[in-house]
Amino acid sequence: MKTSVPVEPNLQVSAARSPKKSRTFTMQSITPYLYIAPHLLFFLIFLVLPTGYGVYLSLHDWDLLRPAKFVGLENYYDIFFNKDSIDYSEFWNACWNTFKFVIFAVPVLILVPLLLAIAIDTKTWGSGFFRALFYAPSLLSVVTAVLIWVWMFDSNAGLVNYYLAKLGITGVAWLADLPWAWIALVIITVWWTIGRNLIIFLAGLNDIPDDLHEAAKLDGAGKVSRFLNVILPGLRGPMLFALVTTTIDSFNIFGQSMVATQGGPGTETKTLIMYIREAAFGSYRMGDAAAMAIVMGMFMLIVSVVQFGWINRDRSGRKRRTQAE
Amino acid sequence: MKSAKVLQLAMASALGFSLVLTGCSSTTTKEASSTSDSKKVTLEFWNGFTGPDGNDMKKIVDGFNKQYEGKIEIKTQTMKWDQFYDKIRTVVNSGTAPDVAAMHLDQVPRMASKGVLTPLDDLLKDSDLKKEDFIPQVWDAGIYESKRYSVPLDVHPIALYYNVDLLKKEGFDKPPATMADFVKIAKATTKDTDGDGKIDQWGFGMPTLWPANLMYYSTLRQFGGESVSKDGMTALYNDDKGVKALQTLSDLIYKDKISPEKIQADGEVTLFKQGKMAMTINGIWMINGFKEQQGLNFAAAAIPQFGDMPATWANSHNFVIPKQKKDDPEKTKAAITFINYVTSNSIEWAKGGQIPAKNSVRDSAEFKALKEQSAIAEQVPYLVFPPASPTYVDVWAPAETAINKALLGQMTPQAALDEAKDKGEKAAKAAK
Repeated sequence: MKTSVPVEPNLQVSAARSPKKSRTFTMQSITPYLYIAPHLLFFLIFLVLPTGYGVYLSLHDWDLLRPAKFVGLENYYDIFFNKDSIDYSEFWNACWNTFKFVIFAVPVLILVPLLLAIAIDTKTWGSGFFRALFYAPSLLSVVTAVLIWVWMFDSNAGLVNYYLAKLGITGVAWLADLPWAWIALVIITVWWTIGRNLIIFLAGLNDIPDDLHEAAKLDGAGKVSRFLNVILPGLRGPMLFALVTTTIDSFNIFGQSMVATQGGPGTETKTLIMYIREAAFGSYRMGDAAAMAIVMGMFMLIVSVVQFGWINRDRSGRKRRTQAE
Repeated sequence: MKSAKVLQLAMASALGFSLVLTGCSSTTTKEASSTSDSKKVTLEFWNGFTGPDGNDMKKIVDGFNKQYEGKIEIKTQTMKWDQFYDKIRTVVNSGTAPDVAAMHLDQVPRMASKGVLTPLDDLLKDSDLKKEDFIPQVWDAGIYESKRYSVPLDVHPIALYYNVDLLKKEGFDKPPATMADFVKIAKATTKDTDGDGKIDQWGFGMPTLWPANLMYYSTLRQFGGESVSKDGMTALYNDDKGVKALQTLSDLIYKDKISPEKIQADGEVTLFKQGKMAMTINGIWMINGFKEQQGLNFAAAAIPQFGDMPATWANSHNFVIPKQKKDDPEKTKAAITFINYVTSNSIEWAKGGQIPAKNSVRDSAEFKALKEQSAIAEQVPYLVFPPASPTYVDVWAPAETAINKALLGQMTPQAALDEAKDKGEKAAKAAK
């Protein structure tokens, strides 16, 4: 498609000689753009424009009232180098907390749905029911989902500690103590968002041809071996998608810690979005908040690129090996 | 098969929901106030009363519209407070501000310093709204840099709620007023009721998150301390008095052992509602929530005095007139009439869990009949409000984290408050 754009003027010239042919060519080169036009429009309005505006804001000081004042890269300097700035300490604290959550949550958010998908995919009795059951929490709003758990995790009156006490374990302050607060946040997130990755993996499992399984069975491959050599390679596409989107979603954690821990104990579970929101709408420092949001976006971009590269390298490596065989 | 349909439905509704979201974000309906009728003035009134309080306010506004039919009409727009505070700044900038609005007292200095609000001194000169008719502290709290920007509607302090049955069981028929009484009652009601060696009924619940900050503010002022300097740039809460106040609250958990440790958000409210806690401190707005709890026999009182003198944190809803691109004397006059009407007819408002700022309403028999509200109103002479400084919020906010850390036993009060001072002053510099 890329080449068709510069080619177009030449075709116009040739139009005089054979009008029929050129018209189909022009239509052909326009049609794809017509197909993506609606999406492109929304993409421009809701993504490109706000992002551009964010970059513009990040170079200014603006409190929503007085005209924005151009300050160059000062907002970025405050984040990275200025030890006297509030953003220097708070941004990196929130950043580190967010990374912690990503590291704790993403493996669980991939592994649990994967294993569940394989279990459900065996098409035993009730698998359809479980499919709907695991997806159901995804339909709740974040506040609803988190509040259910806040009541269950309540250290003095909650269900979880009631049963733990029967096992002789007492005094776990799920939402007020570390590492419990992180564990609770991961559990809440897994319960709430498991459905999406589950569906993606189920669809991926359906795409693996049955004869591959049959062939592997005939060759005497056990369950573990089939998982490693048939299922995992077959799920590479869905896995990449699930991994990248789950990581991005995990970076954006906001509602869970906002409702469940309010960033506590202290500021140990205060995440980037929480702090950026506080700077923007608590202190009305729009420029600082925009700069932090852009730095955060860059981090997410870097992590996504690394993930893409990692999975693609894996694929080419395997290809080379099969060729050698 | 059926479950596949359920799934499809689920996914379709998720998709539909996201479409609705994108649709909503771009549409904002706003009624243009008509001035075609030369005699009738239409005012736009913005507020953040999205809870049950919205209905109470609607009743009052309806009454006003009826009484002033053909002369003044109020059109109300209600939105969430977060949205309200974000929006009010932008609409003043673009010249489409509402004619009158209600906001929290602690936000007024910040808004006034940014030029969002109209000074009211000249407008109030010829009106019936006078200092003598209001609680003096809250009336004075509406002044920023010697100009008045707001008129108070109510005050909402914190209060002590106690379980009448649990206190009676231990032989107490009155709520505690002093620290000694408070600890005595709390110790007597902290018990192991089923004999398994574990305490399952508590005398008190010391929260580690909000509203612990409101209790700390009250205790700080009771010891004669101050939160933030007058110019709003220096934190004062980490001096001896501030440390003593935080230590006092921390001792309730770790020394007197009358409160469970590490209470999570709203954990103490749950225990109090379940009847497993004798006393709790929370805002006056909790009255109706506790009343709805079946089997809970509770009463309200002034908070006990922990420090050297009485002082109780309170906030207040205030009326303001946002700045317009062009002043319209007819409209501002009508707005003052409206403010006067609402403050004078605020008994409906009080029923929702508020104390009217106007003396005549507070002294009425109707208000005195509201048992809990009038008991809490006994704190009116010594209510303390946040200082009138635009950067107060910035300097104060880190103290709330410090309170959390100290009450969780992770840091000493002194170290936590010192750290908060450093952060708060940096934040104030950034916000200025």
